[in-house]
Amino acid sequence: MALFNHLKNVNILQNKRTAGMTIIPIIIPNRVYIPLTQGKCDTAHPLVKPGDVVRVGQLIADSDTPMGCPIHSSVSGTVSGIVNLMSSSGKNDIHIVIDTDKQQLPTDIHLPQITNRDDFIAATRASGIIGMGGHAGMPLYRKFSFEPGTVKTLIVNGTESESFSTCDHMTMMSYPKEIISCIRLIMDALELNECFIAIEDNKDDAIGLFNKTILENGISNIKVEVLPSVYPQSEDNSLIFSCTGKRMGKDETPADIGVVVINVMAVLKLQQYITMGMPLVSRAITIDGDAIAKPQNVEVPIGMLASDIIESCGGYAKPVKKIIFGGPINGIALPTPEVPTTKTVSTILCFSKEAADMNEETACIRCGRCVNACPMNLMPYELADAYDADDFEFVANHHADMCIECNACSYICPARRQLSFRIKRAKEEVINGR
Amino acid sequence: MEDKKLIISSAPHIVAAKDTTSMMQTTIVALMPSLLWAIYILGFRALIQTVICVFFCIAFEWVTRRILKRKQTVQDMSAVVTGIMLSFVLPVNLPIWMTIIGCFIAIVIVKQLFGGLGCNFANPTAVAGIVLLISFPKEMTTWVITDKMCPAVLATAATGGSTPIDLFTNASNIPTNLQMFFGFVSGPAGELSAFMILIGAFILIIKKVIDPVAPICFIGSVIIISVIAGYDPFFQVCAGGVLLGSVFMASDPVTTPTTYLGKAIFGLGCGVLTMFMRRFATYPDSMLFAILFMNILTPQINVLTRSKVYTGNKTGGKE
Repeated sequence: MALFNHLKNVNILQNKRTAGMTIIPIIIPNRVYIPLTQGKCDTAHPLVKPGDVVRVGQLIADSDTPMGCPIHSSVSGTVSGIVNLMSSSGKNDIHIVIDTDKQQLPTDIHLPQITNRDDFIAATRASGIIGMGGHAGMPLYRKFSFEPGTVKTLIVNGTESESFSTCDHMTMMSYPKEIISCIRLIMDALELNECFIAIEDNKDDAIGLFNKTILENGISNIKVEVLPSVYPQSEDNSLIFSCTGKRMGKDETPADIGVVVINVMAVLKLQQYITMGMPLVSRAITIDGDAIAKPQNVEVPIGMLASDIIESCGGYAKPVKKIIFGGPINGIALPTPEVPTTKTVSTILCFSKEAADMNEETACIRCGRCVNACPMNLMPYELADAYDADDFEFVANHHADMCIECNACSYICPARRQLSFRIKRAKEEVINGR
Repeated sequence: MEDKKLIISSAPHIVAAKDTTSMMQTTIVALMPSLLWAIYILGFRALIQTVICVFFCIAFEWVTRRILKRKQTVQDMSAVVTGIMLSFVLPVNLPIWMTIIGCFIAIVIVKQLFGGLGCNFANPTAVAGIVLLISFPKEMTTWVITDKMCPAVLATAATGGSTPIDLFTNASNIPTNLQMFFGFVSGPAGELSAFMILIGAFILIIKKVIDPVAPICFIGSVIIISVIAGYDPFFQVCAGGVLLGSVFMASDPVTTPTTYLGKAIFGLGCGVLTMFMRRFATYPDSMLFAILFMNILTPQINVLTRSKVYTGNKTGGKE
């Protein structure tokens, strides 16, 4: 089934230099800045004030709106302020600043009591987990809140198709039993029939390890689905199509076609909350790039500044010209290193001038490589030209709003045209009705 | 400090290695085997012809962009490719002033006046070749005969020289398939040796510079039509400009469709037109006309073969 069904894609340089590097805990910094707007969640309201003493795992912000998600302190220490700071989205957002006491004292633990589906969803909400694989960051409990019976398939996303990222891979290598036991829990609580653990074929060790664990436990409804190492395999549309052959239509979510997709690290964090009571307070990230002295995988507390992380990891090897949150194809370039990490940041890349220099745009030669790269079957060069010509009709009629913003078209373009940038702007115009 | 500022640009932050200039460079390398064979068979004049074409193509591009006050683009080497291709479709002994007119038409009229690289409506070489053919029919059909060529072609030395396709049209003795394959024949420099063109095709496909779809459909349709019509398919493919046209012109990204289905239609159309014109039309070597005709149809082919976007079963919203 998954062997022949793949959406269009591109082959990228993998750069998995940190594969095989086990995740090591980072040295706790002097101060963290915990953002109150993370991913797609509504902005949370602070529940603490300057001067309060907080512990690791303590609830410090929440929101009772439908897309609200609780935020917990990732360190123990004293709240020193609630400030506006530039976040990775480029906007000034509210952050809770905590001066750490470096002791990481945990808050009182209450293990969640789960007897039925509603308990499970409430526990997922209380864990504070949001999507950990990309920039979107949808709260996990919202993904689980579908109409009972409408979703029967779970896909656990261990593909990690972006360059440089290996944190999901190493998470899978370190915690196979925990991940599988949590998958069974999720499937029981939500009454799901089958689960695909999607892993790209460049991670042979993880595939072997998971197959072995599944076999040892005699599980029949969880399968490892080996997918080709192409980009954008880890994106929802490509992932669901490769595993199940189904496609999402316009404005549809995975739940509308009977599938729920979770990142493998989110599964692990949920398992840790349910068995140990500690909500999401830290996550593994890969730090890499040619300007970093020691590329590695580290477990960082939420809200640690990128500059602190880089310093703790050994600093720069060369003068840095570009710092990116996320992978090189879909990541966000930062204006300064003093930006806090959030629950969704999976990679920090530091590029020197040589790696950061991008070529100028030249003329489109109509080669069609962008057409062969687009997973949504769009014609990127036509949409980009129509956007330049202010042709709103064309852009709307040719489905610019179906663009998933994967940037594969810009990646493959020999003329170095910024196709995805133009299509994203065109998409905004179509959605907002211009 | 200026230097400490970080670069903020939109994703993607890395791009694939292949760019336009490297594609042009690989194309130039792929054209070299044919050039070397032409020098061997036709003599040193073939090299001089190519050098003249390349020089004037670069010069015209530079001057035109200077006059139009646009950014210089000669460094992307597309003018070099056009120059070599033009020398491959002209007779080696063509008077130099006619060659220069050909360069002018290809670079200034077909390419630069329409906007430069990526904007030409048809293959510059095809248009230039056709204009010269119609304007100077005698000089454009006079071929150099040397003693390295096969007997069938040597016999035509007295009557101004004939290419294999001329011999076929006149129902004279044609060269053997082996002589055709290696190229012991006369004709334009790029239409001599099937073997050398195939080496070039191999280079282009291995380096992923071209999609083999259009060339394969072009050659394939020529073979099928030859078999149906009772001609020798090997001869039909090696004779005339079928191989040069399919490998280097039907694969030109600018003037051919962007979708795979479109490229297949393009190749098929070229093959059908070439064979039709060979049988029924005046000019025996009709590849240039076929390419031009399909180039003009390309925008419509693009519209017809546009890939379908899946928007779902319910038509809520714009459709």
